[in-house]
Amino acid sequence: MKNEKSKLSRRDFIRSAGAGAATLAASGLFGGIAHAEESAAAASGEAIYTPGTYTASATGMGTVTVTITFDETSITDVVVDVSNETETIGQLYGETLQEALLAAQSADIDGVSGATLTSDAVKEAAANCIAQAMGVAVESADEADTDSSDPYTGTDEEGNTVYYSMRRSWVGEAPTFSESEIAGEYSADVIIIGANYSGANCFRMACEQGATCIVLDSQSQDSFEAYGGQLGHFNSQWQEDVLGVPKDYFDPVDFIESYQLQSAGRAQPDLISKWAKRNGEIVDWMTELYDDITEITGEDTIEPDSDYSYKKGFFMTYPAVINLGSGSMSSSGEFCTKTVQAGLDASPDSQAFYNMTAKVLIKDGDTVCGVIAQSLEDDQYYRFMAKKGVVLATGDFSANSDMYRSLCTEVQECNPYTELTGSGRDGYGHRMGIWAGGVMEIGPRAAMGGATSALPMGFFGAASGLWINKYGKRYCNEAFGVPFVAGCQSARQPIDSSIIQVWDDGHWREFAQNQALGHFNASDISDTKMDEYAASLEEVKAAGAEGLNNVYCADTLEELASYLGFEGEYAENFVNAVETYDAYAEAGKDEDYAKPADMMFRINEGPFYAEKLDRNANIVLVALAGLFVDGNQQVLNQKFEPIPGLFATGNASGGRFPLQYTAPMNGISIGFATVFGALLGEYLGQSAPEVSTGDSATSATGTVD
Amino acid sequence: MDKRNLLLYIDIPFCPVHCKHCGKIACAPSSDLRYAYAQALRKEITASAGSLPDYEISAVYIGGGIPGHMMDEELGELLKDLSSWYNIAPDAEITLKVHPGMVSVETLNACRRGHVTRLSMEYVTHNSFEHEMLGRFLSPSAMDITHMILGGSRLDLSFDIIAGLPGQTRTSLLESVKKALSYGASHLSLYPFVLASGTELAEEYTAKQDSAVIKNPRKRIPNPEEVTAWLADVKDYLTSQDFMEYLPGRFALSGKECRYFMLESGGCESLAFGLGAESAFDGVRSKNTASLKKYLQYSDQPEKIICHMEPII
Repeated sequence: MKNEKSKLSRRDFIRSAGAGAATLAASGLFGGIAHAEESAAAASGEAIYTPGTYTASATGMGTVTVTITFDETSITDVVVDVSNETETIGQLYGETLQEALLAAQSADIDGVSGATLTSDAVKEAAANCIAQAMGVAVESADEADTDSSDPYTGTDEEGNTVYYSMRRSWVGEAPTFSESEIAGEYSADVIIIGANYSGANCFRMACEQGATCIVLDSQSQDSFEAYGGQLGHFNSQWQEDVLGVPKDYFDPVDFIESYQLQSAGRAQPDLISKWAKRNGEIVDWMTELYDDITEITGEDTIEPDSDYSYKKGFFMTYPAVINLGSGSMSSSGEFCTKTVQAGLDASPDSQAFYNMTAKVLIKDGDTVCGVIAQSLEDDQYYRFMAKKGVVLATGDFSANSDMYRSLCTEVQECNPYTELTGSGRDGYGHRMGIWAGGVMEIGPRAAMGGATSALPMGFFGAASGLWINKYGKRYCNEAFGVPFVAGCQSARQPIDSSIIQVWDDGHWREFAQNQALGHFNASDISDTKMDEYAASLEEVKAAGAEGLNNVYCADTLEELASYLGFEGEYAENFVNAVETYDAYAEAGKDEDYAKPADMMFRINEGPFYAEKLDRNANIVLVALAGLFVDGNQQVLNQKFEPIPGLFATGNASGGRFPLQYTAPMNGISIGFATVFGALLGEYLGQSAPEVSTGDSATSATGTVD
Repeated sequence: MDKRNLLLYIDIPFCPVHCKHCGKIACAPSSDLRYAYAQALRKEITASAGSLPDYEISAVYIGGGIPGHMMDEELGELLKDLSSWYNIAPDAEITLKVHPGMVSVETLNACRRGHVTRLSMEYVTHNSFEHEMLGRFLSPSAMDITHMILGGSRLDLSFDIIAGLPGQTRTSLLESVKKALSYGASHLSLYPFVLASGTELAEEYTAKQDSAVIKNPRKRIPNPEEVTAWLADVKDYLTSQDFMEYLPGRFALSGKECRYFMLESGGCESLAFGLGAESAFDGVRSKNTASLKKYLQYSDQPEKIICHMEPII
């Protein structure tokens, strides 16, 4: 057992201070542990303040300034400046408040009657001074928000000034390594960083196309995990064999058109086009690894004889969503390691390094030609050199709150009282790409669930029925809601607004069974499932005014409004909104917001139902924005030109979700990751040119001193 | 000679928001502060090592605020290195406190590196209105995302649930418990709600004691008799699901009892690190400073950061 220190240990200190527990009580060194830190410290003579004079201001009638002087254990002087306060009220009490602060030795003093604003401001400023002296408040402030050293301008590699719209402190500095730190070197045609959905399929495909490849991943092979469990696509053999929908059923051009509309023409057009044309075929290639694909289950349940229309309103939806980890796929992690193994089987000279975490890319002039990575087994650094290119398949950045807040501007602005946190990766891959000259895709930059979480996700998922806000009013064309242009209007309702979904007894089955397939809507719309809903609605009916799990049922709209807590004008608004919507549904024309007729269902046969749901704060699985790439997934530099040798795929790449998380099917993100990974592997294996010798001896490595 | 059991507690006092009912010292940190705190913890922990060859660490608890997600990389490295400074039992139980929606892939990577064996989920309630009353971070449905992330993880899961919350009913409490079990909880801690004086919530209720707002059933604080009856129902339910109450308010499936809690309740010695952390060691109960500035500066000097001591009677 090593001991890294030579100072007094806690054990030594306790023993030397007390000379044993038996003598403690008599020693006078010890007192009872008090609840408040200050009083405990005062009782024991412990220093709690950093001596000095601290000043803080707060707003009363005008600006109040409090200056407090501290020694290590107490407040020794207080100066309250209320000269900006109303003369006849606030100014009279400055001295009184000053004395009270000194006497109380805290900001917890009684206010002065008749000068409440001044008193509160003095207390606030005093509390700030105390916090400064204790070292808490000063350091808990998010310095990144106010740090004037966080530049909003920078320079590109040629020295040109670049103007940024966002904070950049998250970019940080690339680490450097000396030659003596490099324990070994490997080379291949292609180096792929990350062996998850995109990286594994890139590796396998490139190997099968004849390239020698090296894939690195920080996880262990035996406990490899992949996150998210649905693979969305269309026109695969699996779609035909398992769902009974012919494998050429969907027209790729419909997808291209619909997805461009959903993303307002901002998605990378070549990527979307390639995906639409090739995704079914690539899924067939992926499922070749499994003996019996009919055992692999799907997510969506539609009655085989249903006349369900896959076009809902403006947009197409799709039913083919494979549950990864079902049937002979034992887990989604195993799907990735099995894919890597298939690549190794096809290309004996290729290699997979698990427990290896990438640290920095290597450049030769403008060309990215390798990466330095650290082994988590021996902590040594290794160099991996590439002839054709390095692929960042490194996942997202949602676990890095600094990046997430800075980059996903719309998500943060829709959730202004929440520090964004996500469940994915820390964005190190994005940062490596930026250190090598790459740039982020253009905003607003999406997150999976980011603005979407302000939606009425409840009884029927986030069905696009009639949505009502806190004022009892309908507020948008719900057909743009999930899963299309996620959260665009609900996220713009008042922060404390409940989002209310309304339906009736006469039309709910029709309503529920004709929602779009896709994330946040019910995926099981079978008659069996409808019977389960019917049973639940009976329970809601029986619950009366109290409702059940925030769902309410009443015979009249007025009664329903009262159950929802609407009163007066808001109650009238509610009744009016439902009746107006019903009239539009009957007429097949939404006079207010032009909602497509096929997505409107009548609400006129009581009893009536409503679900009152809170506007969730941001809850996301992963961020979906990545490095700016072209149609070959080659990373672009500040001039939007490709960087030789640098590629990004999966969540490290941009162009997939350029507005927010638009999902014409469940599992679109993994559908994109796997297929784009494979397409990149195909490009690198077949037609990508060699850009480097793959030999570090001839490379001017910018990152190795 | 058999070594003596010792518990380690690592306090990470960071929370994304300060909940209205919480009286703990916690703050929302900048990334710089997180990093500085991680370095200070490392210094304090290494400074206390070396003089303890006669002890073996059988359980470690990382708590305080919400440590999960706050400094995953640093925490993973710190826990990985613990065994080079202390005698960590090969089968040591290592618990990390986390929050729904704040368990990322990086958190799980840190758990793997640091040999964490269980997560303690600060769930509190499944009910979004009860959750909102407390001013808590995110919403209970964030647990759905976390559940997905935990997927194939082999970590044991414990859920903290509070009984007697403003607006809570017997049904909603029971639903919270059932929901926790549906997420895979093998351990539950049930805490009684306390309207602690000095908290924002206490002030809110004191100010509005007679107002119609507090009479609103959605905001009413249940009386203790009600809560006692609910808890009896919860206990019956948990018993029916093979959970045992192995300590007051603590329920677990067989073999999933928390070793840290059991040893702590049996009087096992503990060393606690971090801001305001309280140790019970060598017959002395000691407490670290609550001054963050001071802690960051002097964490490797016990004589400067231990602010209080008393004998353990």
